[in-house]
Amino acid sequence: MTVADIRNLRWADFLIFALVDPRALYRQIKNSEKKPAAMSFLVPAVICLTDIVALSLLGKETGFFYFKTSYGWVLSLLYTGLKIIIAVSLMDMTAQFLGYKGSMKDLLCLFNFSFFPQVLLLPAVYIFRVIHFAPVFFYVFFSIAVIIWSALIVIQWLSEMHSAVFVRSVLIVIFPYAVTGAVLFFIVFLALVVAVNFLLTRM
Amino acid sequence: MDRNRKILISILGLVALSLVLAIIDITMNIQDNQSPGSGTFALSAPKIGPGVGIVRIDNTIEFQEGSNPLGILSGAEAVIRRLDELEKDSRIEAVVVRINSPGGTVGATQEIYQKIWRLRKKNVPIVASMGEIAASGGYYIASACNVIYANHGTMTGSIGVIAMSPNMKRLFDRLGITMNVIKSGRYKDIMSSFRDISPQERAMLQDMIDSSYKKFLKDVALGRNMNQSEIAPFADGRIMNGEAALEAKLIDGIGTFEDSIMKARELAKLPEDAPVYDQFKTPFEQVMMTLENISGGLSLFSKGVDYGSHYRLEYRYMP
Repeated sequence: MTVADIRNLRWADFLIFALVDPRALYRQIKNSEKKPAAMSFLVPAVICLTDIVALSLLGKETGFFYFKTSYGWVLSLLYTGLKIIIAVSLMDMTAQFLGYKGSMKDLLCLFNFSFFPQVLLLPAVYIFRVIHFAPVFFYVFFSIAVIIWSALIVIQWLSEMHSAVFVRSVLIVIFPYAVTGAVLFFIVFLALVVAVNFLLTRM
Repeated sequence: MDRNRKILISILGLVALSLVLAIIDITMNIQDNQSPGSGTFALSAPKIGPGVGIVRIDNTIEFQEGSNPLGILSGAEAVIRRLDELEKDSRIEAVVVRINSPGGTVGATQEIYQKIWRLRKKNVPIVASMGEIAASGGYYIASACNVIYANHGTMTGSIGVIAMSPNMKRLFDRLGITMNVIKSGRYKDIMSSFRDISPQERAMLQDMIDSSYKKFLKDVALGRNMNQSEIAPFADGRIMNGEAALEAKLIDGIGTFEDSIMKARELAKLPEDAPVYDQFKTPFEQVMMTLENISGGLSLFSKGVDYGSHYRLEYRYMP
């Protein structure tokens, strides 16, 4: 991304469309000669930082806050990046399994932009923190709301991308999470069984 | 500029503003949480530089079997390991031994006493801080320290040695149970619960008790820099509170754990805000220790009566 790219404000359109018209966002990315891949990764990077700060607003902070917002931010970014790559791969795999054409690069860009509504979480939580009115409740409430919003964005551009009906798009989004959720559940469950038995036999 | 773009730039501006304000807000809160009067702001305040090390002696003093699944030692072994760490740690200029124990086995108590004594010989100021109870072996260990502080209501003293075993001969006779004992020598089953103790055995055990008692008295006199004759009148197993112990010169002052830390800093010529290096357990370790305690409780029920504390000589207050 060059200074000219920043000044022409075309990047702003991607973010606007992410919020108001995900289908248009897909069309714009598909038709643009230069894919905004680097810029799309700025969205999760900013989200990671605002998330850490929003969470920190809820508790009593110590000097550890500065480690969280520096090293912790990098760690969170790496983790989110890994999560995005796995989710996008599984979505692409599901789409191909359902007979659609795979397109990892576009998917990756679009998926990153779908996180954009989450930037609104920090100002929303901050308002409730300032007025001391159930900030934890509203953090949870807004988190759920923005997750649903992000999911709807993904579903809409998937529908546009593959000219798929709504239900099939939902399936493509849900499948990776269902698979990872099930695998993680069994990993944690089995690890717990092994750990508890290990401890009981040693004590 | 396009209207939509203006809206988006405004949203981004709002986010950036909230981010900056939130960080300033959190920073100010952190500053408020700093200790009042210090006037300085430290980021994470890592503990660095010379300071006071803490050793905690809780419950019965005894060597326990091995370590838990995390490899964490417990009992006297853990105390000795901790003292060893402090001895090797170049930051430690003084040590506070926090005691909350009714005493324990002769061997374990003597080993901890020797370890503290060796540290004291290296000119490391050591202050004992007595908690709820520091009786018998707990006091024995405290006496190795340069200075002893106790609370007014601390239960201390109980200088003496005890050994006991249950005599179940009559119960077994009534039930018609006899034991087949095959032994290599006449004293091999000394302190057996299945028969009466013989006069020779009693005399033999009394000798051991007397010898351990003399050692107790000698070590306390050495640690307190007193004559044995000054201690002997109070060394009849009696327990006393902090005030009585101060009158008997068994302790140096009435004071809390914090007073002991301040005294340690003073003896080591450390500044008043010198760091305190306490024994650290991670939350995970704490959870595992709790699990172990729960498991210990279960095994006690499954084994029935616990005779672990019998059949041995102890510097221990046993009401």
